[in-house]
Amino acid sequence: MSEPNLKEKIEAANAQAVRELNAAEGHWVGIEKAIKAIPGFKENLILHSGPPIEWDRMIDVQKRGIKYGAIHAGLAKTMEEAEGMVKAGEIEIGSCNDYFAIGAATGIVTHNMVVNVTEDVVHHNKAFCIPFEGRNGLGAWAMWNPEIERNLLEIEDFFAPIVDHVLKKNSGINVRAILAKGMLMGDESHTRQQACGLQLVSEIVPMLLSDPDIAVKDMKHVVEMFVGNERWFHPLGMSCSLASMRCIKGMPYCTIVTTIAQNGVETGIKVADMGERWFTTAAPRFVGTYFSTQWGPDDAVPYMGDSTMTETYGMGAFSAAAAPTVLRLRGGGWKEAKAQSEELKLICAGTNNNFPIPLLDFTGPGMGIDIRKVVESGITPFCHGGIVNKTGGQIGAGGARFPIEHYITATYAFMEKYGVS
Amino acid sequence: MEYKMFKKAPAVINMGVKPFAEGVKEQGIKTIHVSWRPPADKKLARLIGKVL
Repeated sequence: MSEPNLKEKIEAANAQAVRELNAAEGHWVGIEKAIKAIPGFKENLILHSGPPIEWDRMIDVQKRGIKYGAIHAGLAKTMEEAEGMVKAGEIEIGSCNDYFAIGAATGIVTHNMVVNVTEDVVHHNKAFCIPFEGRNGLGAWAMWNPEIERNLLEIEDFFAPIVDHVLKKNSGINVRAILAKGMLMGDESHTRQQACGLQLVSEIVPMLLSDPDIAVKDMKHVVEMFVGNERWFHPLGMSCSLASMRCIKGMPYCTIVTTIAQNGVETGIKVADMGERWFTTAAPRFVGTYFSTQWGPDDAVPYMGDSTMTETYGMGAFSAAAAPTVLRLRGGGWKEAKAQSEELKLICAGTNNNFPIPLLDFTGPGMGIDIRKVVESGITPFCHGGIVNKTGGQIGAGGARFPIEHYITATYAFMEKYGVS
Repeated sequence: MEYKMFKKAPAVINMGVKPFAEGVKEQGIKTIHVSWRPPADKKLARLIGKVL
């Protein structure tokens, strides 16, 4: 028998969810070793992006990331040994999202890597994301050489302890406030976060300069590391999204999508009412611009990475109107950017009022993708993102229209739960 | 018999595929585009009416 007044209960739950999401306020509160920061992490655990996937079905570049990760974590000495240990179950693999972590691209997280810790200070939910190593890194891009290892160790052993120290001493940095200002300065904060990056530097540098505990030469090098990497902010925007979305997980009757994540084989969503249950289908392919003429669609893997968490919170493709520059990657301009934001608003339960966008007449972008509206309208989410090479590394950027199949299965599951037939 | 509609400039409502609307609009014809796609799942299209 169908639940009485179900439609009204859904509407009330979704309205409450939008209020909670608007109240959520993500702050960057630390940068710590994964095994210390992430509840449930173990020494022999390696995380990856997207929904859970068996080793045999995993795409080669993600397997390579896990094997390099095993070496970096001191679990194996060779790639062959690492693969054997995974197959024997001695190394466990898991989905970042199931640990409230963001898996950037291949999404490799090992116990000894450091993760940025972002906390929604209103609802006290945390999320985690490794720092951006650059275009050639292990965690995101599954690449490894002695220089990448040296850079990673410098982030883990030199950069992180100093930055964690000043963050804790100064009660963190308000990421949501930086995102809001970035939306007024040309960022949609998925593919482009140049304005947010500069604001981050302007907040962290005074903290470093005023700290008598930090040697001047160390302070200088930390600042150089911030300034030398234009995407330091990206992991903070992503983890702010996930930390903020956590406040509606498990909310009864709520039909809002709380997760979108990909592993290069499948894309998966979670829906608030149904908690941590995954609904998956084949990952979409990109339309975009390649960084070099040597690369094209045949070199790219299907969508890989959890950065699409930004879209669940109203950023990225949903905020395209804030960043027409990003639309140039697909040959568009401000008209297409505005149209994209307006179309995606149609499938949302509300708007993110923290991010008023001038081109949307200072209204916020659509936020809270409602599975009912997706299956009813046939309009599926569009998400921005980076294009990953089959052999590792980022080779381009653009966006992808997501499939509808898993929205259909999720909606059927919701209907079944409440006896609608 | 006289059909008045053929004596006036047409106004077009285009549903679904946007380039069709753009093609008509480029010819100077008043055009409104409606973003619409056919239901992906017929049974679900019926059920969704009970909760949306």
